[in-house]
Amino acid sequence: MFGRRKSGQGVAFGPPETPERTPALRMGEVYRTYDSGAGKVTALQGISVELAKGSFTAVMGPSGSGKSTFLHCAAGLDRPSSGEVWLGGTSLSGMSENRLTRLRRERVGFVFQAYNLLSALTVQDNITMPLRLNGTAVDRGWAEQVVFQVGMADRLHHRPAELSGGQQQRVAIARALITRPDLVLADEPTGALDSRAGAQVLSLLRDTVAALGQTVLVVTHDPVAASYAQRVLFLADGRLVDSLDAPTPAAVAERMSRLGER
Amino acid sequence: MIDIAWKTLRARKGSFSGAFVSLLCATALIAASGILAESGLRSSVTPHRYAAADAVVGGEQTLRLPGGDFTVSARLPETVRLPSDLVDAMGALDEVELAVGDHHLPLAVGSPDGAEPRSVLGHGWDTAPLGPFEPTEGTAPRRSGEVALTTGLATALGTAPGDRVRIVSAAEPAEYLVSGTVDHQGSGEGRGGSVFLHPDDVERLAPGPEAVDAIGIIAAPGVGTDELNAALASAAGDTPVTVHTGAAVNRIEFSDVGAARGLLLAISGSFGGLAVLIALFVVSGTLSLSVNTRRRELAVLRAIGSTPGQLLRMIGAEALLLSLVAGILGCLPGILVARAMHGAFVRLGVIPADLPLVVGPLPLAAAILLTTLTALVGSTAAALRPAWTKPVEAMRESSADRRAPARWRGTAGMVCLVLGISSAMTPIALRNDAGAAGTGGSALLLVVAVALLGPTVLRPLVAAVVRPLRRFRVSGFLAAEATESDLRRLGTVLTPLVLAVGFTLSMVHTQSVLAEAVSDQVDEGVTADAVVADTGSGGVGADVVGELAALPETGPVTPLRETRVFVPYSVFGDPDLASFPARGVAPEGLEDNLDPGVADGDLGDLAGATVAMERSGADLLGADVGDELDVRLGDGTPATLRLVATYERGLGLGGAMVPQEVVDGHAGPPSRVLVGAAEGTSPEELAAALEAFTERYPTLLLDDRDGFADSARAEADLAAWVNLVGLAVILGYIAIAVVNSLVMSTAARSREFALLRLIGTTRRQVLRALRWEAWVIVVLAVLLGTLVALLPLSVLSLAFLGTPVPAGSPLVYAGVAAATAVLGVGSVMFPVRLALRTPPVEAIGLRE
Repeated sequence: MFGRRKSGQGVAFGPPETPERTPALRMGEVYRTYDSGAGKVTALQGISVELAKGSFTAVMGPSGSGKSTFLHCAAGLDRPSSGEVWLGGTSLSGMSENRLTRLRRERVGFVFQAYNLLSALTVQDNITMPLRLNGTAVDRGWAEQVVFQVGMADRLHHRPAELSGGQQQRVAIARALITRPDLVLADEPTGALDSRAGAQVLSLLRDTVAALGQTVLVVTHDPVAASYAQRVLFLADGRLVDSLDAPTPAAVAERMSRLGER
Repeated sequence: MIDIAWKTLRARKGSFSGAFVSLLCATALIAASGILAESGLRSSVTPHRYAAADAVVGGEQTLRLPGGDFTVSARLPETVRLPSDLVDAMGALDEVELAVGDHHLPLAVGSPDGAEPRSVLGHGWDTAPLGPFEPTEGTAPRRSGEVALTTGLATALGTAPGDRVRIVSAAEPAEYLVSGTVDHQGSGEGRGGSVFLHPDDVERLAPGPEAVDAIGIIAAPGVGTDELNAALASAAGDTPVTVHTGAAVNRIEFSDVGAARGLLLAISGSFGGLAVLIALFVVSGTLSLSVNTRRRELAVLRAIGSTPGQLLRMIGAEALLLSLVAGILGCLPGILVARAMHGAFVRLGVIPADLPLVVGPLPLAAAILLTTLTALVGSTAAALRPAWTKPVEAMRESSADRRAPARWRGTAGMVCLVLGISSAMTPIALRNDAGAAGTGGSALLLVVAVALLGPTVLRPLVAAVVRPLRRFRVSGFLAAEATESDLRRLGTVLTPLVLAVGFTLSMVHTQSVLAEAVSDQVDEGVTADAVVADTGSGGVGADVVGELAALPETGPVTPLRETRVFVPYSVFGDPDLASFPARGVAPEGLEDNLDPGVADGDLGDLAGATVAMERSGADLLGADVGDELDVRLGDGTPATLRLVATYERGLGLGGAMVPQEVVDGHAGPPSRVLVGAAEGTSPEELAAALEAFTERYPTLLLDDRDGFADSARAEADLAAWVNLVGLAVILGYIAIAVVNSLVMSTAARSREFALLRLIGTTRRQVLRALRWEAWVIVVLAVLLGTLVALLPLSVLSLAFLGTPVPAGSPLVYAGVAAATAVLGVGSVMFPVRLALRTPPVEAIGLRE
């Protein structure tokens, strides 16, 4: 187990100090409203945020605060009703579904709560699937590094059904990293795992930021999970209401409980 | 993408097996109908009597319309004869060594003491070189009154050269001297033997002078086929002829080969058309079921960055691989199905036993291609929605699709519904076989409408059916909930069952309504006191009819010459050809022997160039009494006939009636003659007189009205059986589809069953709940199937029989319902029991 140390490089997050350095993700005044049967539901109300390259950020908030919508908009899975989203300097507004998909699979890695591996394919095929979809060749060096990093090198020919939940999630992380994305997004990545497996997955994500220089955004409602991040953003009623640098579980839990009072 | 598709297929053999079976059977079904079609086009019997001919020239047996495309054509029922001049013209060609005119004379030959005469074909001895035939014993016929028999035939009759035989032609018997026995110099006896007459006798017995049925050609030495063909064609000049060479001469040699091939084509057209439609319908249903069980996987692929196009290509690649393998494997069962159908047709006697099935690569390739295309279109169509939804939405709705059905389904469903209902009305407009075909088509369209409208139709029905189930606390409640929770899945599994029920009911009852209508109409329409029928000598000749009429006991005598007439007409500006079974009748005393139920006009005007038609047929042509109709007779000869009357009983008595002078020379002699008693003669006296009369004519048979009705019914039944053979095969396919889709959809729910058991439902309660579910499916299927069949059948029955309750045995309905129950409950319960064997904890861990 390597890397229990808390972020040694913790200067490179927050608004960029040097203007020529493009952030991994920039959202400007993003609104998202849905038409539901009862009327309009506003999930995001003017979100503006920048994530620096190589940062590890967590987004927290109570149920219904707009966490998932925030994540989906950041990933280009969902389109804002108004406002702009830039992924590594590219604006997502007005992109066709196909271009958006291509951009997503080149620039964004996604980790889901439910792993979402393809049960018919082996671990290796699952990991390289985005490359295959992209039509790009496998960069062997990178692939080996990623597989080694997630610790699945000896399981490449297993199928998902033969793996534990934690192992499946690590395969999913490897799949998210294989394209060297600008941004890795994780939606409650530990939601379906016990605390030990969850801790392993979170350490892995944090170590990835350190070792491979990736940018990670995790959405969670678990203070312990959030405490692995360099910075925690708090979301309530579709607005960013607070942030916490170098968080501890206790501090995160305390801010969360204050959110409830607002 | 192909390799990922291949890996997916291999990893999930289980979940693809349903689609695989469906594709395999579809290929088999389509291949079988293709083989029948190819046999209809190409099958031949080895030439025997024309074995030595280099070419045989016949008339153009296919009627085509100028301006019409190839679909507007009909096979002419009467032999198209060629002018005798052509024989001389062709014989004079340098390329031709011998040209000889041949006649196919239907004869009955027997010994003079009156033993059962045998039906054979008679030919002139001048055609012997075409075999070639040579005398084995005695000599060839040298003068009129002498005949030569093939050895086998002579042995069968127990005659030898020097004996006398009695030969009946057109019911008229005559004695001939057997001058010798002859044998084919290549192969053996051939079918049933031949009789060779002296050419003068042939000339006398032939139906019309100055014309021959065919011209046999022996080429001059060293003349090639192409050269010969060209020479013959130029000799024919303006006369339309067809030149057959090689094995193709069998088409002229054996008249039943042509008829059987026509039948095979007709069957493959109707059965094949239905089979292809149903197979495509079932395949696309099964594939969409299989795509729908994988919505979650598709959503994942979308989320990790597949473009919609890539997803469709992947699904398409899977379908392509699956259907190619299934298609290739489906060819063998396809051949076996075609063999079985061929065997059944031979046993029914509608196809000569020596006409083999032609199994070429073309129908097999076409079947594979068609199935593959359907699989591609069906699966990509089913994947269109999951592929184009945004990944987030895809993840959300992946477990069960709760969105409203696509709007096009509703629109298409309504279109099918309207088409189905209007197709159900065709028997009102057209009261013949063609009109009755609308009934089956209507049931099919209504099934498609139900399938497309799916949840919209099902919701109220299901609510009504499951209401009583909710009284049961556990099993009934679970069954009701499960049934109502996913109406789309219910619709998919229900469709093949509804199809099976609706299709069987509509097809079987259509046949029984038709048969009933035919025999009813003959019963009511034939008012003659007696019927004299010919058996095997080609009909009752005019002289014999004359003698019959001359008997003091007989009153009006009505010969019925059976043929067809064709009437060109236009459908929305496109030329088409209507075909009607026609009777050439003697107008004098017609109304004493026949009551066709005149609707308009007067049968008494039926003389000269006139015609009377069944009312709906005349309506189809837009013809009123007094209008002139341009028709083609049974041998393609054009004629202009004035419509003088319309009548009701067309099913039993034929769609058209013409004075027999119109068909003279264009149709054979009548096979039946209706006879009324003279004034003051009792039916018994007439019967006695006719009894004595038929004694003198060995091929004539005395019958009564019931006998006529019986034989009409037997013909209708035969037609029904021919249809039922095809129906049985299609039903077998639908049954497989039913089992397939039920097993597939039930097996996909094993996690749900495991979950039920984990939360405390007992095994028995799960089984009971599923049994209730299966019964709900069965009840819904029988209900909907009855509905889709009942509407068109009631209309048909109302139009043909005057009662909305369709004719036919109630046992059919009971059997269909019982079979549905067995299939439905069996194919749900089997996978459930299998699934319950796995301990629930293990089952719940399995990924979908």
